[in-house]
Amino acid sequence: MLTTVAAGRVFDYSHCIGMYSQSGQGFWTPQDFVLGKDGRVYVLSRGVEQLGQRVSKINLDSEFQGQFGSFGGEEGRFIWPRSIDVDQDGRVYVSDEYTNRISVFDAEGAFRYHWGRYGDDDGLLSGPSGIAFDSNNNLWVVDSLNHRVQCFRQQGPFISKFGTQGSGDGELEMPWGLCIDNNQDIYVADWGNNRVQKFSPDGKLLVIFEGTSDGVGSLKGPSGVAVDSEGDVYVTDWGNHRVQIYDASGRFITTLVGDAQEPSPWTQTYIDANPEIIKARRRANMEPEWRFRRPVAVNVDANFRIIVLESARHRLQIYNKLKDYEEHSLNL
Amino acid sequence: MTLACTNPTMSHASQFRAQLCHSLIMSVARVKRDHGETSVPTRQEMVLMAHLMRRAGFGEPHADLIVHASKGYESVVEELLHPKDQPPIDEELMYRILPGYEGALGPPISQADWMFRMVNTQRPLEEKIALFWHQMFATSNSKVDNPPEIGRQIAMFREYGLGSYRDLLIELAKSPAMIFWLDNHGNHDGAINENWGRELLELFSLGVGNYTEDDIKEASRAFTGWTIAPKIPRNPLGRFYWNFEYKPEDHDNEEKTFLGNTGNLNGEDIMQIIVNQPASARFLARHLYRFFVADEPDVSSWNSTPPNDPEAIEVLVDAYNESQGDIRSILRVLFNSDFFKNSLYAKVKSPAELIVGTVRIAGNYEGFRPGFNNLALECAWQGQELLNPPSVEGWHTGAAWIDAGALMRRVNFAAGVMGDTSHPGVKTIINTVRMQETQSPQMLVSQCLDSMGPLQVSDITLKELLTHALKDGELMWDTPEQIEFSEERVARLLALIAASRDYQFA
Amino acid sequence: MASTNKEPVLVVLQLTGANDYLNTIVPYTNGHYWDARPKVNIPEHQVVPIDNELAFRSDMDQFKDIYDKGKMAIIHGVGFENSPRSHFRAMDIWHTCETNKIGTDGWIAKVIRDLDPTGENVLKGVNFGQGLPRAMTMRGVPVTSVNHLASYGVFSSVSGINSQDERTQLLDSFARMYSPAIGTGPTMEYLGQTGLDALRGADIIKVAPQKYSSTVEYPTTSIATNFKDVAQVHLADLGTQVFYTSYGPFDTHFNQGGSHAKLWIDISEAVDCFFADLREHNASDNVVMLVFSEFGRRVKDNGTGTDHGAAGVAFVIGDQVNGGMYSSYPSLKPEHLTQGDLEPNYDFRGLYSTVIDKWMGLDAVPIVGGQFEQMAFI
Repeated sequence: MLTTVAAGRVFDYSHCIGMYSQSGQGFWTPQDFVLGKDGRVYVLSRGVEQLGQRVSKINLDSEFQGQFGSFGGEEGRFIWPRSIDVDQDGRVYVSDEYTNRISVFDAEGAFRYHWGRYGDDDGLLSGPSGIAFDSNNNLWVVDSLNHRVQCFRQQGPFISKFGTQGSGDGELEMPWGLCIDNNQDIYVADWGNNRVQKFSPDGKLLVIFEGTSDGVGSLKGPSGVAVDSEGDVYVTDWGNHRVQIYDASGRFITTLVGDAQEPSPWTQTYIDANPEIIKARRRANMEPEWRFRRPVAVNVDANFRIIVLESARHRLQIYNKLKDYEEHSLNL
Repeated sequence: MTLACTNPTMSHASQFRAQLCHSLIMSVARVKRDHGETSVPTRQEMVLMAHLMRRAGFGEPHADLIVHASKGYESVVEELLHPKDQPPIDEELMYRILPGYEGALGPPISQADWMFRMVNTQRPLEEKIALFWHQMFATSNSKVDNPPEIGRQIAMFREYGLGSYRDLLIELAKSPAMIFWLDNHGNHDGAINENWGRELLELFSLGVGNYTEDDIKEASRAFTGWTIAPKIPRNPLGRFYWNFEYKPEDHDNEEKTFLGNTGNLNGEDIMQIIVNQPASARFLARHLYRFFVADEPDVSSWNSTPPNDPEAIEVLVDAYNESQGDIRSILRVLFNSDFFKNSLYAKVKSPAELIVGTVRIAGNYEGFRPGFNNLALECAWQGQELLNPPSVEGWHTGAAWIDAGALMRRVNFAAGVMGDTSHPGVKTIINTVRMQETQSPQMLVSQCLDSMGPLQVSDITLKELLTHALKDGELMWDTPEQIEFSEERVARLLALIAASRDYQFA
Repeated sequence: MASTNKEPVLVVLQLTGANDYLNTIVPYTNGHYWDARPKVNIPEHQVVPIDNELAFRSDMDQFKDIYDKGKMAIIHGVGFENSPRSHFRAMDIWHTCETNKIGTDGWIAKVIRDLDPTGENVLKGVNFGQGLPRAMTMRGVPVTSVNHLASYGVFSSVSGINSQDERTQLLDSFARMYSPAIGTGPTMEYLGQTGLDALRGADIIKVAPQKYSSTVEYPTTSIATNFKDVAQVHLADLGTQVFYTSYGPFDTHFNQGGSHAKLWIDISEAVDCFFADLREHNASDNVVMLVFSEFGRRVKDNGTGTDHGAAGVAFVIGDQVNGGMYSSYPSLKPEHLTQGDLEPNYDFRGLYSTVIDKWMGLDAVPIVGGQFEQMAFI
């Protein structure tokens, strides 16, 4: 695909970043990422079992700037880390589905404090997944196994909640990721119901993003969601290994399937050192490598860069939503 | 390291696990109620059901056994033989919670994936038959070096393992892990590699003495062109699965003569000829008997050593012939036979059986939690590294599982798990003991043996368990100190049972 | 001062995951090294030269000391033809000496069998670590595997055993449960015997830490702990002639710099402490240590690490070793590389043969499966 044209929009593949590694440069089954200040990107790796959990500090030019956190139940460590965000002061917040904690670090990764504990009362958590700050510097947390969304102050005091378990409109089933738009409305990846639901901050259902009855724009276990300043909504369709794009009203626009035909710079260095791998890559049908595999989180920045994180490929793929592109006549 | 023990949020974590488990597995209780409980099973029925569940599965806790036993033996056999009537492992949920398990990069993780399924499945025979075929069609990561790809072969065993033997053999011939393991990608028209052809006849179907060297060559010719499509190399973007590819241009299209059949034979034809051979029926019958009924000598001696129970083998051979090699039909006959019902404790547990059976009773690995890789490593250290059998002959089983080092590991593992009062299954047993009217040492011993089986143990073991229990007299539950001490006593006794010789047998 | 009986003792240290030969014995004046290793190299100020071509990495200064004292042989270019780049296959080949088929019998197990044909001493071969390496497995050859010497034994896993009395009671119960019983069948009897063997083995080995005292303070790394355990069992005179232990992971595809350095610091310290400990007890002169890895790593680095290669380096260490360099460093010239890898020029079975024949005094041919060139390091 590389360039996708649909409904007056153009999505143009740019490049990819990343590779697998147990530590250091690279990621391991990353779950989420966030764009920090000054081009800093934090990528959260879940690892597997007792290895690989960490936050990697990089930028979109593939520069690796260090990492923090590791496996463990102690302060500043992770067991099943799932989501990451930064507050207005640049502090980094990480949710952990196993310890039911939100851990807070400074911008470089020094541990500050953590809050959160298990339970189903107001303010308690069971499997906290997606997290996102609103413009009031309050943190919204998908409380996945309580099938609800809760709002907290930065230091942990409970503010509000919405959502109950079920498949009816406005109900949630093991929700996963979330995002917040400029109106402070909240988009929740309703994983178990194969849809995204948009709520007002007081929990009123506004829009449902899902497939039509004939399957157009369908979702299977959506994991993450992002919205751009024009209201277009991007959903990582985890179970179908693609990204679905909708307009603000929920109308389906198009699909991205992954286009990483050129290896990332980190990957390329690795390939260059391995002559037999170069040969094997020439022989094989490489398309499975280009395509998204378990896309798990998506963000859009102010420049309309759409950045998609793939858990099973340990990689970010970056697209540009072009503003001034005109389709040439088709006799190129 | 057992993570849960060092985790300060242990109690929360276990509740979280319980919730996840609830999401994963349909409530067993609900299933039970749906079926209705008609009668309270007798002790003998319980002993037999425990036997069936150990052999057709990996054992189960006492409460589940009661439900099964009250349904009646034959209907439980049917339930086991039709795993798809039970809910599957929810793989989407599994890979959401444990994303690193999908296309895992290191061997213990693919083994851990299987451990998770064996411990948490509601389709015990589906996992057990996969383990059976993994033993018989042993494919090893020591050469394949791609654990998820062998894991995919195991998934194929789950899918085809209870169906037609012929279909299974064809799928096996197409399994990329098998093709690589036995070099069929190097088996070309005009330049055959006999490795696959030889093992197919010697170890996967007919057995030594039932074919000639020429048959091996002709079978190999028939499988030329059965290969793997060019592979995407793994690192640095994770694993990519391999794909079977049939290359007609590399297939030998000349006439072949295999076991007396002449024609332009292809792989499928070879499999059809194989499954029609009486030797295949007998060979498979002996394998099934050895895995499900009673320990037998190693396969390498079968050519010269008759089976321990020739009549049982005849029964299974008849079932094979009547069903034209339908595994489900053969197993139905096997599980309902007297020779099976009379084979209590006639097998030494494999490490997988010992480990999975123990944690299923103790309940400490129910649902999602970190640490299934530790169970997988334990299995390897006890002598059975899943996905990495020592050779194409599989593991040496029976008494060969046991040497001093392996026995010490088995005893320490099982006693360590059953002796831990924090495990939910151990707590359940403690509560059962506490609810009894009498609190005598004799009651303690019989309740603990029932809860772990019911287990029938030898006189020498029983005597020692009683001696141990009698030492501290009646159990007391009045003060916190007494409660703690009594709980410890139950756990100690469970640990002793788990350490016994009797517990080493399935 | 304790002194051991003087049967030859072999200690094997396996470097699991493929040690990077080029950054262990560094060809620091070779231009091809610097061409191939722009990122993952040992800078010139961090090498300790052996001569004007080769150097140890500076983290290995204890190795350099041992080498300078003439007690270390460096065996260059070790490997075998058609080296597979798979850890698992390569390690199996090292363990079984079967290069063309899947072997099941370990070479160390065969050594133990030949040292103790009746299998009388279950401590003839002792592994320190979890499970058993395939090198030590062979049906009918009893060996012992110890995770931690201090806690080794039946019921070591059961939590909450508060007193020695209670432990003794449980072990007594275990012994009675496993005692011979008439008419229970051969498997039951075999299990009984094996259970009692396990108890007996644990009882014997338990004396080692009790008898041991030393002024040597080992670091707290797992390799140092394992070597301390080896020293204790060796000094206890239990008849153990082969010790085996592993360290790693050496599979440094990514971010090799720090991790590879740390591994060699740990090993150098541990090996140095081990021999110091033995010397303090006048028990070093009958011990030879063999250090190997399944293969070396790719000549060209991949940016932050190195990938699977072929030829590697082995070390043989001990008072009776004729120190120096053996075989030769394989050529780094690009036209001499095979798939980008150093070509092995010394078959590992020759290395084994030298140790088996000249040190252990056994016939190497049936153990390694043929005649291979031996060297003069012993």
